[in-house]
Formats: sequence, C-alpha cells, structure tokens
Amino acid sequence: MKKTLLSLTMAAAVTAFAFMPANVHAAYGTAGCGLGAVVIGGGDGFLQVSAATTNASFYSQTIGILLGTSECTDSGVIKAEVEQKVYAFNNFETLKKEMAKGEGESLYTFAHLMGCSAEAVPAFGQMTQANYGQIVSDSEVTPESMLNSVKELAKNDSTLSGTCSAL
Amino acid sequence: MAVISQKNNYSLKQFSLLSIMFFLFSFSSLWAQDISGVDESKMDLSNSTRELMKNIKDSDINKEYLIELIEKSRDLKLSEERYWMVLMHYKKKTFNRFESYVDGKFFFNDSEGKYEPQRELEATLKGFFYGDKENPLILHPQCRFTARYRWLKEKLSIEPSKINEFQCTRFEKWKKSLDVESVTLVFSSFYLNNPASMYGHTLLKLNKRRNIKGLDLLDYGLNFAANPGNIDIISYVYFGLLGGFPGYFSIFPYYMKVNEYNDTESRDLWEYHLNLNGDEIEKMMYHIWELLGTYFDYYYFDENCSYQILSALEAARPTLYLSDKFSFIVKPVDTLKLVSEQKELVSSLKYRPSVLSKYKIMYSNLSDKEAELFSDMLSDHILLPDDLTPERKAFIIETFFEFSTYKKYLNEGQVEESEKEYYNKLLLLRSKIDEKPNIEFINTIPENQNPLSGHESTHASANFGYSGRGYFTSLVFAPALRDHIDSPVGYSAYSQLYMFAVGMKYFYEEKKYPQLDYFKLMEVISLSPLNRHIYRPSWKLSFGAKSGYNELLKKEDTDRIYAYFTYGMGPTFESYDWGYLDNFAWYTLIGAELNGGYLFHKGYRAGTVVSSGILWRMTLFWSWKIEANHHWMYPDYKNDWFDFKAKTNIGFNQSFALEAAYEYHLKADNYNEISASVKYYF
Repeated sequence: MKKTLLSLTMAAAVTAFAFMPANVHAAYGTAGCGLGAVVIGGGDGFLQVSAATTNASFYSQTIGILLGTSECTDSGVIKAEVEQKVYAFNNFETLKKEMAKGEGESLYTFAHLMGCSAEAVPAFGQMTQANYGQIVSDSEVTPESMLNSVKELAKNDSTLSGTCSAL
Repeated sequence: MAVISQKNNYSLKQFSLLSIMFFLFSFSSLWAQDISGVDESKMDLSNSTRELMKNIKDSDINKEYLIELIEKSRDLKLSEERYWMVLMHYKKKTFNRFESYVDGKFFFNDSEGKYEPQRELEATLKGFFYGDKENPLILHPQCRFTARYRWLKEKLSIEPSKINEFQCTRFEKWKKSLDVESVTLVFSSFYLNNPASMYGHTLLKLNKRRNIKGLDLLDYGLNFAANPGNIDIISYVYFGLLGGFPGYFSIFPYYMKVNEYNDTESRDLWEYHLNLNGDEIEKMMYHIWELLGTYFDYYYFDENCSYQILSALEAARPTLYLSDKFSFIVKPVDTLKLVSEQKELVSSLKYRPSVLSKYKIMYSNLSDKEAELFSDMLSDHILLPDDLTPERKAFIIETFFEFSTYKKYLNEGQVEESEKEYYNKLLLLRSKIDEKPNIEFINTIPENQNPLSGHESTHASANFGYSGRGYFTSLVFAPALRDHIDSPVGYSAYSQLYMFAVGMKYFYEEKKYPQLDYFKLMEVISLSPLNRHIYRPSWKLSFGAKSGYNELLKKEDTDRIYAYFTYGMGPTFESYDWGYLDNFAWYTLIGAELNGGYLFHKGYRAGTVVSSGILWRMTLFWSWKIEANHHWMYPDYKNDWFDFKAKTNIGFNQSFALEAAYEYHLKADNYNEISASVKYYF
C-alpha cells in the first residue's frame, strides 16, 4: 500500500513536471544547454560532471524523449555542433595531461572530433605537445580557450590543416 | 549499487547516520515489499473491449481493421507471449495476476495497463490507430512504443496503408546517430565509501559502428539510476528503500561515465563484450527508446540498476530469462555472473583501471631512488634531477599526475594554490620531453580482480565446535557479501561487507532450543593501508543484535539478546611488496560501542573498544585473521574485558571453503571455543 501511495505521489510529481513551462527546465542548465551547460558553468569542472549526469539531463532527457526538447542533445545524443565543446569541457583535465604527454586515448578521441583522419591523429598529439606552453600559457585557461587555441594552431599547421576537417 | 548518483560522496559522518537509518528502515522495507499488491479492480476482457469500441467515433474510418486486429491478437493469445511480457516488464504475481514494474504513466495506453496485459495490448493497438487523445502533445503511440509497434506489426501482419503509419523521424534520427553495432556490459567495481555503490554498478555501453578503432569514449552508456536530487540523507535512505525515487534510464557519452567512475570515484571498469547479433541489437534499441521515456520506482535492494539492465538484455534476446532469477537482493556482481553463464553471450573482456589503480601500479614500478624523489616532489615540489633518463623522468611525472588526480577528487576538487602551480609546472616540463615511457603494463588485466572469478556472493556455513559450555553446532547465513577471511579474488581484498547475516547456535549439553548468536543488520569494514602516500583512515561500522553468552554476564543472562552499534577508525599498515599486493595487513581500530537491552541494569551500556588485528593471505585462497579486542563499557557490572579471535579460511573454488576458528574471552568466565566449519557460497 505504502509502495502504491509513493508511486502515485511520484507519478503526480513527474506528470506535473512534464507540464511545467519550458523555462523551468532550463534552470537546470545554467547556460540553457542541457547536458553540457552545468559543466560549462562549473569552471573547474570536477564534480560538475556528476552534477551534469544528475540534475541537468536526467529530467530533460526523459521529458525530451516524450516532447522533444533540449538545446544540447537530441533525445540524449549530443548534437554535432556542440560535441567538441561538450567534450572539451568534460575532459579538460585529462586533455591537459595527455596534451603534455603528446598521446592518450582522450587526446586521440579529441583529434577525431576535430575531424582528423586516423593517420593524422599522432601528428595532432605531437602538435599539442610541442605547443603545450602556448595552449595553456595563461593560468586562467578555460576549456573553451583551450579548444580555440588548439583549433587555431591546427589550422596553422601545414600537415593538420589539410587532414583535420572540423577545425 | 552505484545506482543513486550523488553530487558528493558521503563523508564518514554521513555514512554512520545513514547506517542508523538503515537500521530503522530495513524492517519496514521488507514489509513494504511484501505487501506491494496488485490493484483490486478487475475487468472482464470483453467488457473492456466493448468500452474501448464505444469510444471510437463512427467517423473513424479504420474501425473495422482495428477490430480485426484485436480479434486476431486474441486468437493468437499475443498478450500471453514472452515478448509482450518482456516489453511491458510484466511480472507474474499470485493468482495469475500480472503487474508491470514500469511506473511511468505514459508507458501505458490503458488505465489498467499496468495490471492487464490483454487490455493494454488492445489499447496499444487502438493507440496506434487513433493516437493518444489525452496527451496529444507528446509523441504518437506508434513512435513512442516503437518496440511494441514493431512486434505487433510483425505478429499481426499489420498493413501500413490501413493504419496510417507514421514516420518516426525523431526515433529514426536517434537510432541512426547512435548506430549501434555491438553492446558491452560494464561493471564498475565495489565502492565502500558510498552506500549506494557498495555492491558495484552495471551499465550497458552501446558501441557505435565505426571504421576507426579506439573511439570507445564516444560511444554511449545506457544507465539506470535513481535521481534523488539534492535531498537530505534521511529522505535518501527512506525513499531508497521504500521506492520513492523514480529510477530513469538515460544515455550519456561514455566518457562521462569513465570520468565519473575511473576518476571521480576511483573505481575500475570491467567491460564484457556481448555477442548480440544485428537483429537483437535492433530489437534492443527499439525498446531502449521506449524505456527512455518512462520511469520505474527505484528500490535499492531489488529493482535497482542491475536488475533493470537485465531487462534491457531480455528485450534483445527474449530467450534469455535473466530478471526472474533474483529475489530479495539483486547484487550487480550476480547479474554479471548470470550474464556470463549464458551460452556464448560474453565474448571478450576489457579493463579500464581507475586513477588509483593506475597510480598504484605505476608507483610500484619506481626504483627506491625514484620513490625517494617522488616523496621530495610531494613535500618540497622539487624539479627532477638531470641524471635521470628522459623516459624515467617522464614516467615519474606521469605517476605524479595520476596521484594528483586521485588526491584532487578525494578532496572533492579542492587543491591548494601552490600545488596547482607545481602541477602546472610539471605539465609544462612533461610537454618538453619527447620520449614516451612505456606504460602499456598498466592496462594488463589483473585476472585476480576479475569480478567473475570471485566467490559467490551469498554464503552459508555449518560449524561444529567445543566451548566452555560444551559441544555446539552453529549455522550462519549471510545474503551479502563477504568476510575479510574469504578469498580476495574478484573483490576488494580489504573490504568486509555483511548485510542481514544471521548466526544460530546450539549447545548440546544445555539441551535448550537453538539460540540466536548474532544478527548483523550491517557490518562494513574498510581497510585502507597507509602507503604509497595514500593516507586514509580505515574504518568499521557495525550494528545489529547479538547474544551475550560469551561475555562477562551473569549465567542467567547468557541467552539474552541485546542490540549493538559500533563505529571505529584507525590506521592499517600493509606489506605490499612481499610477493604480491594485499598480502599482509595490520590494523588497529579505535571506536565507540553502544549496547541496549534488558540484560543491562540501566537498559544500555556504552564505551570504547580497541581492536587490533592482522590479515594474512598465505595464498590467494588461504587466509588468516587474528584479532584482539579490548572493551571498556559503562555503566554495567563488569566494566572491561578482553577477547581474542583467530580464524583461517581455505577456499577450494568459487563455492566451497573450509574454516577453523578459535575464540577466547578473558575474564568472561574465561569462555573459549574452538570450531571447524564448512562454508558454501552460492
């Protein structure tokens, strides 16, 4: 009986939630962009990852399936146009480590998101290592500024500019 | 079960509070599960269909075709078929009644759909024709119930032209962007510091079809989790046990999951690749779409992450009967074993070490001199001397990176400014070394830790022994999870976790009925050896009830049961380089104990306990544990006493072990006992 009552309460709550105006949902993502937004808003971005996996997307994903709303994702799948950004925000610390090393799974995945062909991936790694000081020169480096300088550098790199299609 | 994602891991203080709540609510949870009933309203099928037909307007053109399909579905008894049961998550209850585990309103087309498979099937068909009149804004039933539509269309040979078939563009786009080629079952290892994760966690990884290898991070993970939001710990436990949280399926880029488990929580990930064929994966994706749009009431012990993940696998291959194999407690490791036991289902294994595992194994690779340098790096932020080869320099720095990452998350992201600066300096230094150290060895699968090779997670044992009160026999039943003394293979070697464990004892000479020896509602011991610059306290938390027969109590009190609560903390030292890791540990825990019961003059006693012991693994299957405890309790008649316990366990395989034990209670009329037992894990 207790179980039934509780279910009913939750059903009511979720149903109520589903019919809230859209801007109420947006409050979960500070920049209004579901999945990545909380991470973006969080600066350093650590525990923000789990914040993103809890608050931001979970309601909006379920509601999103039913009603089709979300600015960052299509039914839970990150939209292509924000994929690089969301990736850079979520993997910022790992990317810094791997750029300094010039290799690593997260870095190679990043290269792939830049549209680099498989052959160009190691060169991409070397480029980020060689220019590491420049990429994170500023101690206030943010995921976004990192993303921009990496792209800028790759554009000016004779090998990468031709083989990475999404700079 | 890492099912309830929380922003922060619980501190020890919160943990103890949580445990008290466990104590209070466990019984009510059992009760709640038992009486969870089926709705009383019963409807005659033919009546319901008449009602259904009444609502269809005459102007609707395909009424006849709908009636034809409904009749056909009855002839074929489709609602009794296995696949309908799987898709609707129906479980058979008593008296041939059914109940769906799904609690989301939009999952059903009929108001009684949760309990009435046939009614729901007919209402679903109706929905396919006429849409959802009550909720016109949300997806059309054909596009919301994609797996149902696909299956019914095939079973009833529905002609698209007669039903006004929809193009489900959003679903198609979603399916295409995931473009799943294969599926992996992922196990995230045990994590004692968060009660939600003590048993581990499982999720599914949906692997995208690609020409390029090595892009696993961009795959998507299908997760089932409850979301309590930012609530207080009491509500968390209360609703976690009684089912007040909605549990949702959701998909996330796999890198988010890797970051969360590997880095934030330092948990190893074990990825078991599943042999599902294209058709099975297609079926599964059609059903996952349905699941993403609804919710289930979340129950910590049974309707949890692992349970729901199994139901997704059943939708792929309905001939798998997975979800009905469990009752009471569904432990993620058991679901993993069950899946691996299915014929030709698991094909290969990949291991992703946590940041802590990476650090530990890299640190062990440092020479003595390098380890000294490493200490200096930590304490004095030195820059490395030039007499090191570039490879070694790079290796030491990379080891430092892993350590810093681990420590940062341990401190919930707080890093001192000077440490941040030093870390950045090392990053820059590392970028100037072109040589790449060989660190491939960190990805070697530690087979000894493979959760599949561990002993089974429930155990029972029969003991026979001789004591100060004569010969005795005792029986123990523990539904979860393990004792320190059990083989460490497949588990965290230094963890002990009991829940709902009960021990009964019978003394032959006294010719009384068997009495309760103890009931451990919960007992967690987590030892963290102090070495490799990781300094975390070891701790113990235990509560339940036990008999006072072996203590300093008056003879007439000896059968009395009292409740206890113990909490202790202290250091553990380990000799990790004696051949292999986790070989020998010495721990000391200092803590408080609170007892309550009629046998105490004031109804309670409270005091301090100091325990010290060693845990020694002669081999991976032969362990010793020797422990001494001194108790100082107040205000009862005998205020302090000492006891000593020694135990050994020899494991023969995943389900069988032999144990021998000796116990001595100084001053407790010098009660002592020696016993031998047969232990069965299942």
